[in-house]
Amino acid sequence: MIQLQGRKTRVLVVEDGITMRMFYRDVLEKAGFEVEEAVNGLEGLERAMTGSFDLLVVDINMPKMDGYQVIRTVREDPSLWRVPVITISTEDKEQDALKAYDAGANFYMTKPVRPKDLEEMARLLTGTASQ
Amino acid sequence: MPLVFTATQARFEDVCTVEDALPLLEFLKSSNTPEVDLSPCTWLHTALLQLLLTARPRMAASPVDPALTRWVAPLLADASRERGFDG
Amino acid sequence: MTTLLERFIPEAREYLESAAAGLLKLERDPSDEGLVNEVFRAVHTLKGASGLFDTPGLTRLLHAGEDLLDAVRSNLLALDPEMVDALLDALDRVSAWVDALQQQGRLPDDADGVSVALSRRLRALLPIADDSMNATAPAAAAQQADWLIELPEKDRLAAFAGTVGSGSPLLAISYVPDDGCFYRGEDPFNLFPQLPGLQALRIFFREPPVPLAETDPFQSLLAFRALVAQPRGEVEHLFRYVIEQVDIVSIPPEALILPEGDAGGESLHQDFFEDAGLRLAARDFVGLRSAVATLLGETDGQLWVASALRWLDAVLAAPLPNASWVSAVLAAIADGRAFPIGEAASREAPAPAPAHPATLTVAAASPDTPMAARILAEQLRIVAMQGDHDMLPRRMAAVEATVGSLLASLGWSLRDKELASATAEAADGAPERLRELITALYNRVEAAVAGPSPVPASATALLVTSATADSGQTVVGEATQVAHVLKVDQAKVDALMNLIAELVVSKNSLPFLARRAETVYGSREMGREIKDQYAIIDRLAQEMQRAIMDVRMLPVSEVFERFPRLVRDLSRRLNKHIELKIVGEDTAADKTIIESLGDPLIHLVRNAIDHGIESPEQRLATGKPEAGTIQLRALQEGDQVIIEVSDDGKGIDPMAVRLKAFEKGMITEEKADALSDQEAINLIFLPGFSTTEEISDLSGRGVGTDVVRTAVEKINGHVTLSSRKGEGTLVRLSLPLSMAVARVMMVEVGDALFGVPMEGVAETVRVPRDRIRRIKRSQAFVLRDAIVPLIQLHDLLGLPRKGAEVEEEAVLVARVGGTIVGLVVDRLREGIDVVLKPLEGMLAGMRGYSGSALMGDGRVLLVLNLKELL
Repeated sequence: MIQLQGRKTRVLVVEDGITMRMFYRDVLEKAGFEVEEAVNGLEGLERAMTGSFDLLVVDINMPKMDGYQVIRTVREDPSLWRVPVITISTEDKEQDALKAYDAGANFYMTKPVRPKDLEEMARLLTGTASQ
Repeated sequence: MPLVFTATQARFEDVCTVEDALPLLEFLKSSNTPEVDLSPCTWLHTALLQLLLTARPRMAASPVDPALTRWVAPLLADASRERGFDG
Repeated sequence: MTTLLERFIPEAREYLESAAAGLLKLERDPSDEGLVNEVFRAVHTLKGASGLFDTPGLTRLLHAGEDLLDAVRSNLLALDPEMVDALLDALDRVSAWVDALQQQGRLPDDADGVSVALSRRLRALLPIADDSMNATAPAAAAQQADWLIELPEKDRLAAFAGTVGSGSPLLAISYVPDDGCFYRGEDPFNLFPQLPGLQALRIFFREPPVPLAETDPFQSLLAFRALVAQPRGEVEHLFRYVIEQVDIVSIPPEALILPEGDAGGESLHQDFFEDAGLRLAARDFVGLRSAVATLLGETDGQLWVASALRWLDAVLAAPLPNASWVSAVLAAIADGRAFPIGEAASREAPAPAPAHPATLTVAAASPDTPMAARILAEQLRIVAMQGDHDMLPRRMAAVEATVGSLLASLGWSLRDKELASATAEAADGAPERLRELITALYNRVEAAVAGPSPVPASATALLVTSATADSGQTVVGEATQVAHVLKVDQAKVDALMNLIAELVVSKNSLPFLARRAETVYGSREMGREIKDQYAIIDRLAQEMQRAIMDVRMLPVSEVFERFPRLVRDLSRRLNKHIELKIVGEDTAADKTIIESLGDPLIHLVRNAIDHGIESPEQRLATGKPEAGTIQLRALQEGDQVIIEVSDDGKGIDPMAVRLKAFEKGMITEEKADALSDQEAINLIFLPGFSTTEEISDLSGRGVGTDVVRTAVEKINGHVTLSSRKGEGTLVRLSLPLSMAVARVMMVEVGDALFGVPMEGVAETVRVPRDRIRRIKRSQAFVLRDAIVPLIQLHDLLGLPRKGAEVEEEAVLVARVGGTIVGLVVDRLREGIDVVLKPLEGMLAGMRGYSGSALMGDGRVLLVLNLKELL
């Protein structure tokens, strides 16, 4: 059986910090993903709704709109409810994770993130894991 | 009077309420080797429990009441136990 | 210096500057919440980014600053000059370190020491860290009970044993009475013995006890923490007068698995772990338990290891031991760096590892565990989380999606709807089956990683049992199948496809060659041989084409699967009862087709829910069943795939549509009257038409039914809609199975040859001249009781007619946007497969053509776009 990879798998990184954005881009592009960026929650939401992405990587604490709200809104959009969402937070607290999961996140990662972890996670959640 | 005092022993009888807190404190302060007999006690007010946990007197007789046996006796069982701050 | 670090330095400077400036402003106006947030975020972002580099001192200091700012932000602290000083000093120090990073690529040697000192200074300004002690903080309620390890192990063991099988709720209660509670007649301790489900109770001084000589017997100083196996309602009732001082948290039984005791002792022999691993894989829980008992007998009971073994025993003693807990405890023992010890030892560390139970599974899934296992372990944690009940469906939907993606990635599949139904149960508050399912998958991942050895039969057996009652194989995809999946870039398949399509076309030149052999070279024999060879090549080319098309085929379930959720959510929001039926989800079509179906279908289903299905009251009033039905059906018809969206709702009223179209100025009154009901209904596909007065929020983002038509036509499909007032609506999308090779009907007009896409061709007829009627300036003829307007294709294309007078006109009856027209041509020719290419260069913008195709004899065929042409 052959599975089509189709166009490159597209990832939207929503993160206000430029270094972190660059880190995500480096890791994900090296892994063969096509990466786009949004610099705050609101922009992230707008891009997510218009850009047909296969994966969202969302920071929690951001200006304009926080990550929880971005995820909640994304999940209310029927064309986006299935898009996998990885949240990346600095908080290693149970209630923060719960909040993210209640919003509809698929995985709550805490910083610092190991490149290999992010890459594998992105592959597994988008169904593009190499066998 | 639910609390009955002798020179060295306080005997907790039946229901012991917050009214007994002051007499118990006086007793605990007055004696160098205070002892308590909890066997007839069926109700131990929190204020009394707090005093017992502060002073940690020797337990001359353990409580018979099941709840006190289960939850209070172990706390007071070993009078020689360190009196440190538990928390 | 890495590029990432190069990027970090200017960002760090920028944030440090803005944080410092913000702090100074805040000192003057502490009430500016926006500013507090901004400063917090600057420090927070920097801390996050700094974690990428090996600069622990810098990260630690920023973390301390962040925590302090967080307290200010959440109004736990008021910003005072002392804090501002401490924060500014910290920022200055970080600034200096950033300079050092730029110049030397590393922090100065004294950075760690300085960082600890400055962090301590910042932390000293924080309010008391332990939130659970702070009964007034409302946030405390949301917090997990992180003090369970303080409860005696034997009580926890007993509570675990009592709960794990029964599934009865387990509550962690923290009660901190205030100083004056005795004066109000409260007697905190005596509330606890009134709880029949009391499992464990810890009584302690919330601050160091005052010496007896100075003690005030009426000032309450005790605090209580308890574990109760009893419904929350009963507990809340008992504590109702002091409820604001009580924090009640539901915890799953595995939260209690917190081994305690002294470190040290000899580490367990490797043999034990190997043996345990095997027994675990084979689900030999009884054997494992007796091995544990033997080991326990030889171990000093005070040791942490002994405690962990007792927990292992408790887990194994359950009626149906949870394998992931077993493997988690085993892993913790094997690791030695076991989590609870680590936590106890690092009590003064700023961010202790969360002691929540579920961390057990996560702890087991250490960074070196395969990611798939970690994701599954995390799903178990998510399922176990105690949160707001209303949020549960969304949380579980995410779990379902995550597990679904994971399965797809691993090439595994579950029995139909297995995952969906387990998540649905979990969303309703019954997570057991989902937990078992994920656990089974987790074990399978572990087993797959362990080695190439086949999964033990017993593990598969568990999967099936976990799938409960109805029989059948749960996991169909076996590991062996995984190896046969090959991921290929779509571009490569497309290239192959194009080559094959060119081959299909090239082979079409052979019949021409055969004819030339006969007519030009006079060799019939050669001609026949070429034809024979042609037949073979033709067959092979077609098979190749089919094979490559198959590669691109996807089942429509890819798009259908999102609808159960959509229908459920929307119908709940509208208080309608709707049943969704899905038929034929295995029908396959080309990937491009399937992918472009999503949006039109969402729109149609939304419409059916929103405008089609009536409210339950209306339905009952009209004698319909209370619950409406929406059906999504897919089937293959020839080289078309048909998708139907039907509902048994109120249907479309053709009169209302006519009126509306007239009111909107879309048609004239005469035209409205002339329209048949079916034609009237089709008006709703016109841009800007909407059938209900009020635009409900479900109608989405202001798109009408016309976008459905546009989207479908873009992929060479077409839409038909039929509806009966009061009975329902059926929308039918006919789409090509594949896009790359199009079948066109060739027609001759003048000297030129044109192609008409086969999807648009209804039939071809010859119409005798005398049957053509003239109505004013237009022509028409009657075809089986329907009047079909006739159009001269010559006129449309501006070409001369070939033969002047014929007795019969060749007419191609075409379906264009729901109406039927007859196109008069000079000659009807055969159908042909072509590779349709968009018009390029100067022709690119020309209307009326959908593309061009190269034919076998080298000629170029222009393919008409009738819709644009008419």
